[in-house]
Amino acid sequence: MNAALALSVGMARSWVALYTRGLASEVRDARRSEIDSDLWEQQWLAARLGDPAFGTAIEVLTRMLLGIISDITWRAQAGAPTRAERSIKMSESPYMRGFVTVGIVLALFMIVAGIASIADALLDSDVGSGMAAFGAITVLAGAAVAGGLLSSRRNPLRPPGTGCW
Amino acid sequence: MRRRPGSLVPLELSILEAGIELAVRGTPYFHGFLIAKEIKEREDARLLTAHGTLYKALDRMQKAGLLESEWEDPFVAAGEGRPRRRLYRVTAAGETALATARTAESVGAMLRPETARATP
Repeated sequence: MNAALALSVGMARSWVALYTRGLASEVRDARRSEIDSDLWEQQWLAARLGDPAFGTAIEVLTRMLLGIISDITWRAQAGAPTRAERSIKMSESPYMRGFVTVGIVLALFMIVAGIASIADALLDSDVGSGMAAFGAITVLAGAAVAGGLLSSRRNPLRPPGTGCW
Repeated sequence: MRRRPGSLVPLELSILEAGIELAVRGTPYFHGFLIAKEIKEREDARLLTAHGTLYKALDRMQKAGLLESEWEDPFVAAGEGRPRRRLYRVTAAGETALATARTAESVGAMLRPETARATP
C-alpha cells in the first residue's frame, strides 16, 4: 500500500477508535467495523480502477475531516444513555468509590513527590543523577495510575455475568 | 435549525432514491460505501459523502424505520478476503416517505408561482 494511503487510512481508523471509545461494545464495534469495511471497499475499488493512490488517500482524508462534526454529534447522542447508566453503577458501590479516591490521592502524591525530586536535582544542577530519573519515573507512574483510575471510573469493567461491581 | 418531524433532509432523500434504484437494478441490499458511490455518480458530485455524515444518516434512518440492516454472513466476507459488510435495505416506510416528500416538493413547486403572483 502507498504510504500516503496507509497514513490516511490509519488516521481515519484512529479517529473512529477515538470517538467510539467508551461506548457500549456493540455500538462501538458496529461503527468501527462499518468504517473498516468502507475504507477497504474504497481502496479495493480504487485499485481495481487503477486510480492513483495519492488521490485516494486525499479522498479518504477529506471524507474523514468533513464528517468530524457529524461524528461528534453522533457520539454525543450515542454516549448519553451509557453515561447515565455508568453513574448509577458507580453510586451503587461506596467501597469502589473510596478505593478510587484513595488511589487518586496516592497517585497525586507520587506526581508531586516526583516533581519535587526533579526540581531538587535541577536546583543542585545535578540532572544526570539518579534523583532526576527517579523523579521522572515517579511522575510517570503517578500519572499512569491516576489516568487508569479516572478512566476506569468513567468506564468501569464489570465481571462478566454480574449486574454491578 | 430544527427540522420538522417526518421531513427528510437532502442526504436522506438521496439515500432512499439511490437505494430504491439499486433494488430496481437487482441489488436490494447495499452497504455504506456502495450507497456513497451511487450518490456520487447520480449527483455527479466531486466527492463521496463524508464518513460521519453518511453513517450518522444511515443510523438515524434505521431508527426512524426508513431502512433496515443486517450484518453479512462472516463466512461470505472471509471467503472474499474482506471485512464484513453491514447491509441496508429501504423499507416500505422508506419508500412511502420518499414518495410523500417528492409529492410535497411537486405541489410546492406548482404553488410557488401562484403565491408569487398573489403577493403584491
